[in-house]
Amino acid sequence: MSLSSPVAGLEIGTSRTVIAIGEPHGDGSIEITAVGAIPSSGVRKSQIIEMTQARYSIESVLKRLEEQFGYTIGHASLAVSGPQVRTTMLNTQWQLERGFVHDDDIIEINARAEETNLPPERTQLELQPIAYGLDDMGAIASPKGMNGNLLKLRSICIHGATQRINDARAAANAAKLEITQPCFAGTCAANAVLTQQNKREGCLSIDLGGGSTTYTAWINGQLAAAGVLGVGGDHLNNDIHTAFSISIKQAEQLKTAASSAVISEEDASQRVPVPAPMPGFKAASISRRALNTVVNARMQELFTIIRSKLDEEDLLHHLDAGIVITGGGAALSRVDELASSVFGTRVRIGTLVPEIQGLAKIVGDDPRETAAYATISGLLLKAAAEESRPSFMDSVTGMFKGIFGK
Amino acid sequence: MNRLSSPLLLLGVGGAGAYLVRGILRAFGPGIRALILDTDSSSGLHDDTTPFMLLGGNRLAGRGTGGQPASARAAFQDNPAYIDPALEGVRTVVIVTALGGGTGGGATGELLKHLHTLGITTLLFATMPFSFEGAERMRIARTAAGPLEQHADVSVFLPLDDLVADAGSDNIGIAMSRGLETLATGVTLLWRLLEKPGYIRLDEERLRAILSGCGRGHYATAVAQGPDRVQTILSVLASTPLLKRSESAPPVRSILVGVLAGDDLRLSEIGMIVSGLTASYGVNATIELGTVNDETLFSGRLAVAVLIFEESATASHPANTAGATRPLSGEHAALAGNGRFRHSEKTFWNDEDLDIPTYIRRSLTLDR
Repeated sequence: MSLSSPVAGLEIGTSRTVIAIGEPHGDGSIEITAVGAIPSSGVRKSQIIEMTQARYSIESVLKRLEEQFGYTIGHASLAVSGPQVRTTMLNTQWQLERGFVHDDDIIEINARAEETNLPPERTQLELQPIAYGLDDMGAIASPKGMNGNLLKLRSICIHGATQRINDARAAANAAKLEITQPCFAGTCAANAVLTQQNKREGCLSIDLGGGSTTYTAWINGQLAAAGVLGVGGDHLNNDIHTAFSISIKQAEQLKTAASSAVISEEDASQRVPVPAPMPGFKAASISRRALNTVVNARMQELFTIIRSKLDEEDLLHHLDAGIVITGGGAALSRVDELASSVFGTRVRIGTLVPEIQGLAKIVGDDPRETAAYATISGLLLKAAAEESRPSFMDSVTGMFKGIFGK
Repeated sequence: MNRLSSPLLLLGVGGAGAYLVRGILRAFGPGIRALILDTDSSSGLHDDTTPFMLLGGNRLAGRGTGGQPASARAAFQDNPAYIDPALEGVRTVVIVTALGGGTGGGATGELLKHLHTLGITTLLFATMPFSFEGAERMRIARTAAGPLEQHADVSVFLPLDDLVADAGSDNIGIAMSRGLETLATGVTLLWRLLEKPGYIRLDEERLRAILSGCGRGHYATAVAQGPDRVQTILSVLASTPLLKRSESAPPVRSILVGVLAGDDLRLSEIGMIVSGLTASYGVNATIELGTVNDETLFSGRLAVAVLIFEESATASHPANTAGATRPLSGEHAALAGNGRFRHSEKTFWNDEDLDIPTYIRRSLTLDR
C-alpha cells in the first residue's frame, strides 16, 4: 500500500528519453508503476543539441504515459549525465571549542561543506562526505567523542554545467513538465543496483549509456570517486558505421544482435549477414572477427580509461565486491567478461536492489533489460527518499497535489 | 524547411559561379538556399532574388580581379569571417565555380579552408576550361585545382569539353545550355534526394557521412525512355568521358545514385541500375541510392544521376591491405569521427580524440 504521493523521474538520454513513475512505500522502498520510453532525437553525448526535438521526445513520452498508464505528470526529477559533469574534492575545516567532537560540530562542518559556493555556471548535483580528519589524523569514519582541536571533512562534490541543465529544464518546461531537482545519473544507477553491503565492501558501478559512460566507486560505504566519459553506445554505432560503410541504424542493429565485446577464435571463419538497406540492393555480409575487433577495441579502451582513473586515486585494490555494469551497454554480449579481464576482478550485470520493485512487470524480467533502466529506477528511489525527508516534505507540502491524476 | 534555414547551401564563386547558380535555380525552381560570392559587383546586378556578397570591396572596389587568382585570394584573406553571417545553420556547402579565371581559382581555396575550420562539409563542382580557350587558361585552371582538392571534402572537376561532348552538331548556345543542364541536374540531385518526394530518400546526416573523408568525385547523368531505358542509361554512363578514371586512381569508395522518374518506375529497374553500377565499380563500393518521383517532369522518362566518390588519395595505407579495410589516419581519421559528433564537445583522453573510432586510432586492420 502506498503511503506517499507518487514521484516521477526524467532521463533525457542519447538513445532514448525515459519517464518513470514510482509509488513510495514509506519504508525506503518504491514500487515502479509506469515507464514510458521512446528513442531520443536531438541529443548527443547525453546533452541536448536540438531543443525542439528534445521537447517532442518528452511530449511523446508524457502522452504515452497518459494513454498507457493513465498518469498526467507535472513535475519530475532529472537525471543529469554527459561530459559536462565534473567532480571536485572539497576540504572543509572546523575549529573545535570544547576540545572534543560534539554532534553540533559534525552538523556544523557538514553545513559548511554544503555552503561551498560553486561559480554560477556550475550547479551542484551531489555532495557526499568521504571521511573526517582530526588534527593530524585522517580517514576517520565517525569522529564523535574523539579529542582534538581541528575537525576536517573531505567531501566529493559532483556538479554540472548550469546552462546544460537549464537546457534540459527548458525542454521539459516546453513540454509542460517542471524539473524539481537535477541528480547525478551515476549515483542514481549505482543506488539502483548496489546494496549497502556492496558499498561497504568496495564496489565500482559503471553505467554504459548511449552518449556517455558514468562510473562511481564506493569504499567503506561512501562514495569515493565518480566521473563521466563522453563515450557511449553511440560511439560504438559510429565505429561500426564507419568500418563497414553502413547506416547508423544498421550499425546499431549489428551491435545489438551480432557483436561481442570479446574476440573468439571461431570468429575468423564466420560471416554476419547485413540486411539490404533498401529495395534493389542485395544483402551483404561482413566478417564477424572484423565486427568484434571494432567493438572490442572501443570497449577495452573505455574500461582501460576508467581503470586508470581509479588507479590514480589508489582505489583499484579496494573493490572487494567487484564491479557492476548497468545501462544499455550491459546488453552487449560478453561485456562483463571483457571488463573482468581489464579490471582483474569479478564483474556482474546489475540487478535492481530489493528496495525497487515493479519494474520487471512493465519491461520484463530479462536482467540485461532491467539493467538498462537502472538510472531511472535509482532516480525514483532518490526522489522518494527526498520526499520523505521532513524538511523537504514541509517545503513541498501540496506540491504533488493535483499533479498526478491517476 | 524554408530555404533560409536549410543546412545545405549552394554557393557560387566568381562570375561563372554566379551564372551556374542562377542556371541551377532556374532548373530546380524555388527551394534552394543559395549565395553568390564574387569580386565583381556586376554579378549582383543581374538578379536581386539570389543573395550576393561582394568580396574584397575595399581592395578591388567591386571591379573584379582582372583574371588574377592572387587578387581574389588576398581579397578573401582580408576578412574570412565576412561570409559567416550567411552560413548560419549551414552544415554542408555545395560550391560551384569555374577554374581558369581569377575569382573562382583564387578565392575558392581560401573559402574551402575557412569552411573547414567551421566544421562545414564541402562538395565542390568546378568546371575546367574548353580546350579551345588555350593552354595558358588550362594551366591556370590546373594550378588552382590542386589546392582545392586538398581542402574540399569531395571535389568534382568537370572539363567543359566533356560536359558538352555529345553536342557536336548543336550551335554553341544550345550546347552550353545542355552542358549547364547536365551540371544543374547533378548539383540539384542532392536537394532532390533530400527534399523532393520519392520512394527512397537520403537524410542529411547520411549525406555528410558519405562526403566526409572522400577525395575526388566524378559525375555524370543520363536520360532515356522506352522499354530498354535502363540498358540505354547504363550504356551512356559506361561510355561518358565524365566517368573515365585513370588506371592509377584510388578505388571507388561509394556511389551516390539518384533515380528520377515518373509513376512508372519499376523496382526491377532500380535493381538493374544498382547491379550495373556494382559491376562497373566493384562490389566493395557502397551504393547510396535515392529516388525522386516527379510525374510532371519525368512522365515516361527515366533519369539517372551518378556521383562516384573515390577514396582519398592522401589517406595513409598499410603496406599489405589485400582483403582488408584500410585504416584511416590523420585528417581523414578526424573526419570519420567528426561525422556524428562534429557538433558535440570533443572527448579527449591523453591527447587522443575519442570521437574517432578506436580501431582507426590503433590502426587495426579489419578482415573483409
